Amino acid sequence: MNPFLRQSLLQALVILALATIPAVVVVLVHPYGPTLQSAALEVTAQEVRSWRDPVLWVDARPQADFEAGHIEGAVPLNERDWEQQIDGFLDAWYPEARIVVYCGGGECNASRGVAERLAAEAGLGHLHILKGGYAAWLQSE
Amino acid sequence: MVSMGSVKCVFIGFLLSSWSTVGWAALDWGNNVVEMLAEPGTKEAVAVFNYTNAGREPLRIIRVKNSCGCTTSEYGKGNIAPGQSGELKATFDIGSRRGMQKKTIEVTTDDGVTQRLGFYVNVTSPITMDRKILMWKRQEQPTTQSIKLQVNTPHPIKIHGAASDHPAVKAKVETVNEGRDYQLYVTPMSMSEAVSARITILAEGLEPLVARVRIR
Repeated sequence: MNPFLRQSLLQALVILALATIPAVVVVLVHPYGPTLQSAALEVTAQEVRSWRDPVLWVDARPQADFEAGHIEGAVPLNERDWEQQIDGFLDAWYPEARIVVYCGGGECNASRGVAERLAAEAGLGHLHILKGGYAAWLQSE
Repeated sequence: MVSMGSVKCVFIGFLLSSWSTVGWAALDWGNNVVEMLAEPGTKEAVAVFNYTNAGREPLRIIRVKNSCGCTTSEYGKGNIAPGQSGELKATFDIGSRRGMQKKTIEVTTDDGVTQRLGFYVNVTSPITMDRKILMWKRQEQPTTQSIKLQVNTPHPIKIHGAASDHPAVKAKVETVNEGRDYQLYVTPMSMSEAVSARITILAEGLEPLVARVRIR
């Protein structure tokens, strides 16, 4: 290899390694650092369609969005209206169903919040979040 | 052997890469994180973020992106002259939310810089429960499950007892540390049918707390 190219690559690697240090610190201690773990696993619409197990859909969007249209069989449950909606979710819950929470799309903070609260308050495991939310589900049809 | 030129090059490269991650913003937010406490039942929380244009050129806020639809932001849309101050008012719709709520607001100015503000609201109850919903599968044994109740106020709060609204579910509260820590025990009497029940927990001077039970 050309000695100049080799030296440049080496320098680039050292710079990258040094830049990784503040990046790791930010992830670990910064209050806005990205969350590396969540109570729920992300799944794609295609993955859910391939499941044979029954699915209990949880719609984490605002009530008005749910009323305008939702995945068939979904129950509404968002953090804002939690106290009014949680009984409806519990009535629909059955142990055999896999729970998939969906939002409108984008970063899906709403569905993550609902999944984390279900895990914390009800001790539910095996929760999933639909990647891309309702928009992704419609596109996958 | 490593030449002096290589060391300089690496050092400059590191500084540049660090600088690029930090960026430089003319809009100076005195405090870019607001934290507050709210009691359950509070409808909304409001935070005011003050800013000053610390640069030499006029600035304008061209975009504000809230991390969720539950937060709205009001801010001046006009030019911000050098040295001029202003405020961004964020309102968070609490609703039934509980626990620490971390909301972020991304502010983009016409100099191409985006800054992130943090709006943290901790919705805390005087008494917290480590679970609020207990579930059993009907094919399981009717084992007792429990919920830990913890008083968070500086003064002690007595919990007098608990009652189930369904005859197939029994509930009782035991004192762990008077006025501070209690344990709620819930036991299904039968697993022969699906059950939806509510356990009401009576605490001194507070609205009753509710735990939900489902047997499916």
